[in-house]
Amino acid sequence: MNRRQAILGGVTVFGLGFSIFKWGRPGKRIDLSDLEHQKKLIEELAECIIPETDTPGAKTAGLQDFVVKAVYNCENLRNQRNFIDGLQDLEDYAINHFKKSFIHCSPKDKKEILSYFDQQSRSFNLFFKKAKRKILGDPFFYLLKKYIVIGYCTSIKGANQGLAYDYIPSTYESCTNILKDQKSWATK
Amino acid sequence: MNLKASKENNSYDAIVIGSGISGGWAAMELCKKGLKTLLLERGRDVKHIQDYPTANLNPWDFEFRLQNTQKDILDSPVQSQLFNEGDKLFYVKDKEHPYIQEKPFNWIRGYQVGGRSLTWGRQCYRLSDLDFGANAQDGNGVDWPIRYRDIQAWYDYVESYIGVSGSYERLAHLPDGKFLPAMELNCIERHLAESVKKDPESRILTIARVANLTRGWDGRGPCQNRNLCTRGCPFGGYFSSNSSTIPAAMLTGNLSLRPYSIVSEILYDEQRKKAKGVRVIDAQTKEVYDFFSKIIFVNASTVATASILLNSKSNRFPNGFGNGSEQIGHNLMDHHSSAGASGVHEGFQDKYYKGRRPCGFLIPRYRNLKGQEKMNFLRGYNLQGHGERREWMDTLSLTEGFGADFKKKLSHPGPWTVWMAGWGECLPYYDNKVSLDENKKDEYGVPLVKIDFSFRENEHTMMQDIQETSAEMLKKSGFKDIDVFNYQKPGGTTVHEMGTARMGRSAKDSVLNANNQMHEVKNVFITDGSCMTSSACQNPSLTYMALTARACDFAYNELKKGNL
Repeated sequence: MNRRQAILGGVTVFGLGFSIFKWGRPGKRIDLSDLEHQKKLIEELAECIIPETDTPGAKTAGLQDFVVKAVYNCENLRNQRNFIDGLQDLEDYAINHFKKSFIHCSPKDKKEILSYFDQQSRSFNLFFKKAKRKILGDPFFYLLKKYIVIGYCTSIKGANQGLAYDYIPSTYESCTNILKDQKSWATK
Repeated sequence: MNLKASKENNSYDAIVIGSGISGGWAAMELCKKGLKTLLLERGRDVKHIQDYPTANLNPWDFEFRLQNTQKDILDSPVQSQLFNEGDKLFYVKDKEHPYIQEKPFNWIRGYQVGGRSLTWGRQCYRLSDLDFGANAQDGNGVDWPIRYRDIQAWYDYVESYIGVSGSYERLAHLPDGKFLPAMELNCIERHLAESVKKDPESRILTIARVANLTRGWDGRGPCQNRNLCTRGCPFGGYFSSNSSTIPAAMLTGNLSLRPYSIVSEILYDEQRKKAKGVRVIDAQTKEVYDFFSKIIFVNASTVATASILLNSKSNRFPNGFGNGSEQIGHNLMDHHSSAGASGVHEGFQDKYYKGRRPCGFLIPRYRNLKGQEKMNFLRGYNLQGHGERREWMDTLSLTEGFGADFKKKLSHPGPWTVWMAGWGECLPYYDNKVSLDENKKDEYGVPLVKIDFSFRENEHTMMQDIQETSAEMLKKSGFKDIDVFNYQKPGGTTVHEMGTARMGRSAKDSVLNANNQMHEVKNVFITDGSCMTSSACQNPSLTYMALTARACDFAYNELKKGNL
């Protein structure tokens, strides 16, 4: 039994349709510059996840700086590694399947790529028990979504226009009627 | 000894050690009675409003949008479980203030003027004779030397001063107080309340009783429903030492407040058989000063108070100050609050709320009450929880996909949910204890504190009952997807540590008498959590404040009579 199998408790991982081998690759601290070089890609991914609709999207909210800073400072080394490897995998996938870098892919292709990584992250959570997820760290797409959502919902534009931000409520109205297109509160 | 001949005045009528919720009260009461009082605080000064730099910030004003960094977690593995980027300025760094966990114990600390009164949960519940009589009833610990009638008027006094919003419920085991108008339950909580009321054991669900002001009070408030209390409130919307008692004490002209003053020991006068003062290490210069007074109030908080007493050795008290009973440091308790249940309700889709009410609801104790069948555990618990609609931080990990549909789900209110957990009584066990490691010292040369604490069978059995009954109440009320949980958090996590210098009837088995006066040193009073003889299941700060005001009155009268 090799080391990785030992970590996984001997689980056979063939046939899952994706490689988990990159997850949980222990590593040293990533270089901040590795992340900063990916800002453009993160910005594109963010807009795909939270697009502009009748309210501002992720691009307008401008959260790639936060995502980079948060992954670098708030995540442990394993998750940082999962995140940066995930970005690379995504880029490789785009080139292999569509012969283009992700940011140059068509909206339809982008959607297909994200669906693939979204599915991968879901299978991972489905397949591995909590304890093993702890050893392997969080999957790339989960991390990406987490920081894009936090970044968006706590940004000026996201909180005030995407959601409803009540800076000083003054009173508590315990039971109100839902308004048309009622946004949820930005803070608790 | 590097004892400095001080230019400061070093003699006072009274010294109060610690400026948290009980120390602030002691300082105010003693100053109002005309005693020249020195209030010692080991941390920095925090002035009301002007020293709340994060209080008015928006989420986007924070570098990490209120997330903790890996550095936060490394520097403060314990405190970071409770703080966020908005209020971490009121928590110590664990790295700078080490202690030894013989078993896992979260010792939450705020070393600053006001202590943890800045970050407290603000819940205010009275104890009753069910609680004061519990030890005598089942033989655990020693009997409380007081009953409800001894403290009732002092609860009135404290509530009237700090301002407590709440609802009158006429329960014998959770006495009503002097309340400001209650905060309001929301739709889902009212729905649950209706269902709970139908229970044959006449359970009720009521709004939490909290020291948040529903109208202006004593020049403070009202509460603006921002729910950012733990950053310090620029509106003075909740009670803290900083917003209330310390300014009031200051106003008398009798208060000297000395931050950066670490009390290493209390000094004993072998001839006069009394405490003569305290030894202080200046946290900034590390110089040592002695201060003297007629009476001393120890309000350093449960663990720290025990450690100061244990570190105060003399010929008379070789095992610690006033420790003839060998009880100091022992009988450490904390409420458990790990077990409970949550659920999702499909109704009331057309209802919401506006504002961020800074409290939840309470289901008062309903187990082992007078006249009820006895459970397979002693004592009881209350349930505390809140109802809300799922918002983005809740749906983040639940919502699949990406794109416009995902964004729509994220930005609109999800279904109603209720989360509730049992705040449970912990019995006093002699071997749950605080002690000192004489071989390991901190940077000031003071021995490190060791904490050896665990919940036992009675608490674990109670947790099972909490899970069963809370899930049952949710189920009966039409909730689905019920998640029964037990977080298994270690002691200390509820931040209700208490019991290390207990009150009792005899010097043989307790440290303090019925007036929080040390049995063995009559001019020393201890009125923080360490005085608690049992833990009950109510959030304890209100009781500390009431006992403090009562003890100050007693101490002042004794001083006047020449008995101290």
